[in-house]
Amino acid sequence: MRLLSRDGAPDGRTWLKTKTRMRWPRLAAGPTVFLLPAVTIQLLLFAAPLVIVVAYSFLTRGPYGGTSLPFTLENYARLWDPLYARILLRSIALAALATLLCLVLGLPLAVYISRSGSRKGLLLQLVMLPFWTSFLIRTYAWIFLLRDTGWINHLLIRWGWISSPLPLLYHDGAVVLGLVYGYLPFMVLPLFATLERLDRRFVEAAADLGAPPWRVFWEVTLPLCRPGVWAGSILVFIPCLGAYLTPDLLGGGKSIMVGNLVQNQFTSARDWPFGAALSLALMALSLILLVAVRRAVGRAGGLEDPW
Amino acid sequence: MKTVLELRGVSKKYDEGEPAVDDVWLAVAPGELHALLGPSGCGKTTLLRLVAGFETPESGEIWLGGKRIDRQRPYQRPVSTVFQNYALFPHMTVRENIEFGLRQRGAADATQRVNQLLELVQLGGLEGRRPAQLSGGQRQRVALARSLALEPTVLLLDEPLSALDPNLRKQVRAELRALQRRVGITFLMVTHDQEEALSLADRITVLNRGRVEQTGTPEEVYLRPGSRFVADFLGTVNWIDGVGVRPEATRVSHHRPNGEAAGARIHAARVANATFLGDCIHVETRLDTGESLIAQVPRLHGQFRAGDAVHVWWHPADEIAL
Repeated sequence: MRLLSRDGAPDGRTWLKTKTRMRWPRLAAGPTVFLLPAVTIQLLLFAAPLVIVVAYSFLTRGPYGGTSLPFTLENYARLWDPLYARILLRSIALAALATLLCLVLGLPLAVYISRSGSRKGLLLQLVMLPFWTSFLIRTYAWIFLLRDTGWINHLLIRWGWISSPLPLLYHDGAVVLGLVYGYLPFMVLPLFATLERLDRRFVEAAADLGAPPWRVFWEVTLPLCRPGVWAGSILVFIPCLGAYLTPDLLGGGKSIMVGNLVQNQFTSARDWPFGAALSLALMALSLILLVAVRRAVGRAGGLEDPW
Repeated sequence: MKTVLELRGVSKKYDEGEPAVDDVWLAVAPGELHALLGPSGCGKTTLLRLVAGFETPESGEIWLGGKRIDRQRPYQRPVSTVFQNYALFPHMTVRENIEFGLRQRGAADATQRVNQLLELVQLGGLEGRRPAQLSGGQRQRVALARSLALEPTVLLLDEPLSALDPNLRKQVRAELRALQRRVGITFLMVTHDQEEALSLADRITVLNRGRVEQTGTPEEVYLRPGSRFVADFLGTVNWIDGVGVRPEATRVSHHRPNGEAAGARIHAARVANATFLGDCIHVETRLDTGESLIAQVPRLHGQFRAGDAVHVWWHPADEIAL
């Protein structure tokens, strides 16, 4: 990491020329000092624990939990066990479904907000409003809505539309619902940002060439917003893949995702080395996806990098 | 006069301030290259956008080929626009850009049409490139081909040369003129550059603060401007005693002129400054009565130095009378 390199100290001229594309390694010597707190925290709270997790993943399970020698590759071999592989695939499928739904719901919302003129600020505030409350509490709130004696079933029975409560909770559907609810803002915000940056003249040019509004959207607006679609999808998919709170609360014991599996290894199963290997596998998967998407967007050519 | 495009008392007002376009009457003849000329903020681009359909007029009517179009949506109007920065779709190749309009219309022979257009604007071999991989001049030609693909009744051009570097502009100007002749489509072009308008257009409409000042051929607006604004906007004018005379019609000589100066208005003056411009000399003079006059003198007409006593003269026929 060349974060602290001093060779990029900017002189006035190059800075002016590159001010729109300032790269983070080009830092003056002075302000480097201000990075120290952040770097320290990252080293202590991110890098060090990561090293410990990596080390654990090569160790053997202790007789009463914890870890012990000798070093082994056993934990990684177990990842290929069909039982765990299935959970991993399930997690990918659920996260992908949630991401897709976020996109389908978020795109019209982002388009609507970007065309709302002076009300944009207010609408964006509303999108972010849920963040004012803890995610845990908001997820519990869904239980109150969805459970057999919850509001939805209560009202449906009262209106006579159903006679016995619908099973709204404790299955994959509820998990996906919870994930979509939780991560929708992460889709809307990058989509909105790209739509805002989109030059209106492209839209005008398409209309000028005879394209009715829906074709303008489909053939010009949407392709030009692809970096935003990718950025939003990554921002939703990765946390969904690792989610454990939502499947735990809304999926009950039945709907297990890889996040719950990791949690179980460290708690009830007392198998820290395997939990460590699992979480590293999850991390590797996320990284691979990030790189793949970066490449896909890069290959689109002529489009702005989402990061 | 036959007209293809007609604006009848068109006005457009934005939220606050003066109207951007104020009671504009304009008639464009079929096949002509008509320039809308004026300083920035004169409403010329708004006028173009009104014809394209990106803006709706508050009052007035726009007629195109015998049909009223001012309430039609942009995609329903048989006009196309070449945007100032071309607005080529960055995610499409040259071919896909040109094909875009034809595909909207579901043209069966799109591929063949695109090939013809590529040939017309001399872009053969570049059809697989993206706009980002083209030079400014090539982008302009893609934009032209893309708009011409639909054979619009009128092609609208918004400052089509301003995105090009100055060295290229003169060459592209000639190409644009030749292209317009070849395809025979009516061009309505917005520009703030009087030289561009004079050299390209069949007729020029000069706009000022949302209103039409004058419409006429380049010779008419330059030599017989209808207002002081038009006279000044199309080039330098020496205003003296209520009449104007252009620098190139103003003559300077060391001796009192005779013969060729029969009937001329002659003033005694001193040279305030002389600038050598290669083919001509830019002479600033101060009349004995105190007024300043600028003359553009061919280099072969003599040498002038600051302080020289001279005679400044011109023929009354060259005067601009308002």
